[in-house]
Amino acid sequence: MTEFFNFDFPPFNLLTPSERDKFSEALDIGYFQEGEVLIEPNKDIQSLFILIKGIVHETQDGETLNVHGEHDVFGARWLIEGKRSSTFTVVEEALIYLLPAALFEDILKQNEDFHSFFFKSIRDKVNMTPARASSYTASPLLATPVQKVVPHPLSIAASAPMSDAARLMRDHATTSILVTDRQNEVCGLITSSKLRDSALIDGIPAQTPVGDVCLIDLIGVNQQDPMSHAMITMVKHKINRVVVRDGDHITGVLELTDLLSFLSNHSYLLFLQVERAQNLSELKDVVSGINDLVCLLHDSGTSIAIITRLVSEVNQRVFTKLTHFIAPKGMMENTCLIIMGSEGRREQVLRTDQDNALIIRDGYDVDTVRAFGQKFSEVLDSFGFPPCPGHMMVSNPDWCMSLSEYKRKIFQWINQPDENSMIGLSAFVDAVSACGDKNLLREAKEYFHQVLSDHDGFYAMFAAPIVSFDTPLGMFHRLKVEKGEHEGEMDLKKGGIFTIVHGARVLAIKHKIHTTNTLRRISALAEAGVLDKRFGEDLIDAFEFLRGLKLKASFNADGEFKGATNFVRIKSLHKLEKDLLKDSLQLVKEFKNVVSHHFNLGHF
Amino acid sequence: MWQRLKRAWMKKRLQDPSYGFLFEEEPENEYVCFDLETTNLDPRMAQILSIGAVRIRDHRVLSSQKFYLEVRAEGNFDEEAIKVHRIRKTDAKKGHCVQDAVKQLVEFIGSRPIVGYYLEFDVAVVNRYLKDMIGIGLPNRQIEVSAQYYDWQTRGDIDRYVDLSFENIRKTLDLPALPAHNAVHDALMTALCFVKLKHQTMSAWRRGHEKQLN
Repeated sequence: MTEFFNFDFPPFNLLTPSERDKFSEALDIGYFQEGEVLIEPNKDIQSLFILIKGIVHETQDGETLNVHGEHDVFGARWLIEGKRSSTFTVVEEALIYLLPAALFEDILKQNEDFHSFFFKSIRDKVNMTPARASSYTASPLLATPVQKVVPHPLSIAASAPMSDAARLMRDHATTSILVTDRQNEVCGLITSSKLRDSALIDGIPAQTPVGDVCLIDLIGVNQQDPMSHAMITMVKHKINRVVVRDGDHITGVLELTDLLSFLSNHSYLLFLQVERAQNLSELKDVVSGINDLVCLLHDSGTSIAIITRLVSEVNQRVFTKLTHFIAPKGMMENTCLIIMGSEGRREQVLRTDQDNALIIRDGYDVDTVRAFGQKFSEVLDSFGFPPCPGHMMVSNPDWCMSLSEYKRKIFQWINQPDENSMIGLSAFVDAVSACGDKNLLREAKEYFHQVLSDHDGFYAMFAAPIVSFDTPLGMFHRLKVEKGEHEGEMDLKKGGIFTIVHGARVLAIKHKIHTTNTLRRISALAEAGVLDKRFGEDLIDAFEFLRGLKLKASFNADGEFKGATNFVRIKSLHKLEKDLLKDSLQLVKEFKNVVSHHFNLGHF
Repeated sequence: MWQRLKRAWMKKRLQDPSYGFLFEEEPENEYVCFDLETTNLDPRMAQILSIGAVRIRDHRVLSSQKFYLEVRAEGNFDEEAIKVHRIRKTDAKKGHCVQDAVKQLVEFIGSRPIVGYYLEFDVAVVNRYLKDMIGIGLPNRQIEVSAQYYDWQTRGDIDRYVDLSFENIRKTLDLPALPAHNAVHDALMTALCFVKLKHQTMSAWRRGHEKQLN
């Protein structure tokens, strides 16, 4: 008999032909009216539900957890885990296939893929998304583990003379060799420039053992680290090679040339261009290449995390370079340029507003710095970094002050809080120093924690905005969310990203976690036992997924950048993306509960 | 009253006592929907090619309890009919003998009310065989989906023209179309229409009541 069930969507596309036959044979079709309750807490169910038409809401304690539409499958958790806390109610008359529980369990036992669909976490579901390759995959290039790229290492005994090392380099056309001790363990690195400096500048005889001149403090990466990490490490330390470690052992050297030839990609060149820019107009040219780079990486399927780190790193280099061009002599020794907000959290994917500030050492000439701030902002503006709408930037005297003025302000933020101080504070706790004297920022933050330590009531107030944004799943019908200007779209920032960012931020402050990056904050919170480890992992994936959607929404169908947006059109998502969105929002919701429980926000 | 009399009279005329189950009490809220594919549309001549049926309980179409039989047919085939149901003469050579198929169908139906679309035709064809076999036709209560649909469409507006084509009914009721055109799928679709109409009417009536109460 011809199938009357459509097996083209997951997880049913995973069934084998004979399973499909049994499946079709066993299905009933139910018709349910608006208001009918399909599943009640703590009651057994006899079947798995597969929605043909209509809308079913999953609620718990009056709050909507999930909205199920066409092709959605529910009841599985009941049957598998015996999870029995929520209620399923028909909100738009529904036609539903009913699969007998016994058959569902049989198929789960027989079919491993089908089984894992229901047991896998959100992380694994991402991998099953068909369109994954276009948006979320780690690039085959940048995500490749270093060990796959690093060439077979050359080594030389520490007792061998420098001349042997030079010969070895010439013969192998390389510029670095690992140096090993008597136990054959790597103890250092000798490079061609070090040999040159030793022999020609310091006049050390060519017979001197390599061990006496080699480099001992080695900067390295782990062999499992992605190439992007090696690249960023080189940029950060302005070095041309990193050693590769396997645990405590050094196993090889990755040269910049290795990396470049491997990548044959523009991203590193961008860093070099920033470094080489001789004047403002050259720097501007480089900056205009950043969005192109993002497009390129995005097209090649590079993961959001990697793009973000690259862009943040480039932006920071640009700020530093710009400071060198226009800061008066001696100024940067007495000030600290900080970047705040998403830039500070290293979560800036697309270049958006300027969120920056200057902290001036007490006693240094404030007017000089303010004049610089003005200029700095103007130049960034001309580079295409639009001014911050809240004027949270160096050209605003409120964000270009002496350290003691900042302290006064921090005290005021905490002790006489108002709406603006919450925004200011949020930006400030995410701040990292871009250049200048880092100690100025450190001192300001230490002061912040000191003031905070005897002010417990503050946390509840600071965390409160988390509960003030209602959960999008509860508020919106079938994920069709906005009305008016953004009809049919969902505000990802309001709907989930903000909650995760702010929740992680508040918890991090409370538990004295100093990193500003949301992913790291979550990991650190999980490590500290504040969050469940598994939940932390899922939350990170949800966060990445939401940001991926946000980034995707900023490009049109042809992959052209159309401007940063927080809105995603729900209808443009395919089935699994919608599922993932629901799963992610569900996690956001749970996180919200964790935070509000943590800070006793129930009464807000 | 008339129904009861008619049933009693039929029961008397039943020749084969093993079919007594037809006169048992109707199981509560259960129905059977059935559909025939035939060689032509004249109830006096049409030969059965296949029979599809499905049970209904409350608001559920029990598609897991399907009934489907192909029937060995004799006589002339109407070419137009072949195009609709895609059963060729060669296909019809296989399958059950018609008396056996009807017997199984009647057992599947039991004492449940019968639901169908243009049921009169299907019942007439079945009865033609059944009368020869047991002396009577199907005694079951019959529910015509197109009539139910008509009633629902003409609530308080009797003179309205109502398109009673099955496709139109399906679309108006916003039900999905099943892929193939065979007796089981037709029976399933008809059953869905029935369930939806029945509950829609009931809830409309209930809503009316609630309004009154408020």
